Amino acid sequence: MFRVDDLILSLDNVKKYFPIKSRFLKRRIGWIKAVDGISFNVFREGVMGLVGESGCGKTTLAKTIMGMHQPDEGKVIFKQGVISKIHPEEARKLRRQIQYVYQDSGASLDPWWTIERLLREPLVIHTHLSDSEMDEKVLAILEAVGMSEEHLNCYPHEFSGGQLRRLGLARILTLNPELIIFDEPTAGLDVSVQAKILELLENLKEAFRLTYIIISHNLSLIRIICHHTAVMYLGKIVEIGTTQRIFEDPKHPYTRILIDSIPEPGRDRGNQRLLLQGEPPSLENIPPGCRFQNRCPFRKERCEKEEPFLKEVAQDHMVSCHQWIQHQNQAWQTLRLVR
Amino acid sequence: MRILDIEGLTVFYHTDQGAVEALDEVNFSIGKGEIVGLVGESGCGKSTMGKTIARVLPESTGEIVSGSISFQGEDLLKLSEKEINRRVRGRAITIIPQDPFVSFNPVFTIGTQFSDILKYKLVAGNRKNGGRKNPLQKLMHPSSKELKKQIIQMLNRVQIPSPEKQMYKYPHELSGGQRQRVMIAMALAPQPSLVIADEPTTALDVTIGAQVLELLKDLTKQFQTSVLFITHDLGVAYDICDRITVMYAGQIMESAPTDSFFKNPCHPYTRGLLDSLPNPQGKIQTIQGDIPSLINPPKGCRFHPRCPRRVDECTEQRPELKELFANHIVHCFKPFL
Repeated sequence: MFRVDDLILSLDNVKKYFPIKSRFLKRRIGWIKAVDGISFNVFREGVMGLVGESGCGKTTLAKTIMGMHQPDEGKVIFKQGVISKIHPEEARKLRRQIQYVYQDSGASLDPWWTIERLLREPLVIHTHLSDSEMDEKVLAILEAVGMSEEHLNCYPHEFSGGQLRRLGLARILTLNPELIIFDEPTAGLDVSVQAKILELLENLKEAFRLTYIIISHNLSLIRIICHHTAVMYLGKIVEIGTTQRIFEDPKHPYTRILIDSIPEPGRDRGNQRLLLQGEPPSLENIPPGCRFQNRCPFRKERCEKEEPFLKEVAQDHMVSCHQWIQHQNQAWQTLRLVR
Repeated sequence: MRILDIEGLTVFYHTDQGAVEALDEVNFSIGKGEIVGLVGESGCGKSTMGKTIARVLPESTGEIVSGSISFQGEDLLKLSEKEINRRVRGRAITIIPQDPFVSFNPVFTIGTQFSDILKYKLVAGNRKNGGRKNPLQKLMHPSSKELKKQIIQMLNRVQIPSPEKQMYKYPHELSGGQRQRVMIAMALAPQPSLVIADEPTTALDVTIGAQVLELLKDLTKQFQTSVLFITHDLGVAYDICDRITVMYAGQIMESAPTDSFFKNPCHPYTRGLLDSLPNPQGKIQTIQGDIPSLINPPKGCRFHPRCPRRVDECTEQRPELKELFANHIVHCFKPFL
């Protein structure tokens, strides 16, 4: 379905560690392994979803792609060019093509600026358009996100949450980016507004031929909008594949439990579900062996010693688990009954 | 048996632009041990309802125009502030807030804040029996054995690992899920009859959220506590609630037992909400238009400007309550059947 020259972004074993320093003398006493060896490909006009609990490294990964963090190891390749470890000046130029949408658009718009000024700013910085061309462009973009000319002279506080998201999007689209990274695009929105934003995202993708990376912990959102999904746990990808496969036939116990915990009307209620026990261990001292072991219902001796790596279990579907064959439906059913 | 019965409650907020009609003739009730979900979009009056019941409406702007809130046979709106403080708020009615981080005091340990609640309860209990101060009050230091035992017991109930250590921690040292669990423990500690949970899982991850919900459900069933569960997430409401009430722009649209609610949603707005949920089958549907301003809200049914089944009557008068199935009530002239 996808060809190699359609490849727009590719990560190769990207690692980002943050040092932990001692209070006294500021010596390094350990590492926080926020992103620990991540590789995946994103294809042109595809939508990639990154899922995981808070603190699993999703945002750090996104910032590394943007060039806001330099990876400690590995490469980020954007359109056949390596963009990790380039000069900050170069990285800034690249940012026209890769854009990042923050979780809270309201907080990232300057409260003292009118919408017109906010939307023109990126054009002023990055392009050499004339004034009238800029006006035209700003209006066109504003319409594309479903707002109108009369909003130009308003200030950010006059808008609702859904409208602010639209404005945040408009601001990014003025530069014709190719890849947009969304950090929780619908967090904090009502369902009806969320539905409208999702509709807008779909339409914009068609109209501007965009590629998306969507970071979210809302699995039902990922399910409807993403083509590929990567599930992250403590800095590593535990399962990656087409969204359809991930949701219909999850192989990693963590993915399964995540999908089981989506609150969705019509699902089995209460005792029929398997809930995740405990909380993720701290990134400072990750256990040896499988990172998920202390919360995993299928833990075996091997998991405590040997760290699993991603294995292909079907076409377009990779899992990092020693026991994936064992916990097929049968085992899962008995676990549920025991509960 | 009903423990809370609200009738014809109308609440205004006074602003520079005029009065915001936040609640309009709301009728609502909660039975003993029942978990009732109050669902709706932001700005529909869910939280106003919670605040009015707990009598914590902002004094400067909020005004209760009419109506009554009868709680265990007593009209809360007729009680004086002093009475409310002594017997109701924080005692018979407690609140679980949305964001546990901002609701804790960052400079005191969990244990100290917990013991404050227990002490308060003890002192007040005593006032009722003669108005004297509890002579033991001085001993009620967080380090006092009795208090410590109670705190540990409650923290154990909400599955906080090693509570004897955790109670000496500051709020920022706990994870989000743990903080919310401590909040639940604190809300249940005075053994209230009604807990108002205002979006308690919105700030948490799905996995942790699911754990917290399960816990809340178990504990309230165990203590026979009623819960008013305010949420905008229908999925969460489905998981925990016995009955669901949908609000829109300050009016109640539909109220039904959970199963009946999802099986036969009758109100066009409820249908719209359910259709805009991301579903794996196909495209998402949206409700046309936007939420109206509550300063000069639409006449009649407030949903009529966005309603696909609108008839002339809707623009003129408020639809009467209709009971379509057992306990399933709808305010609509043209409900889906």
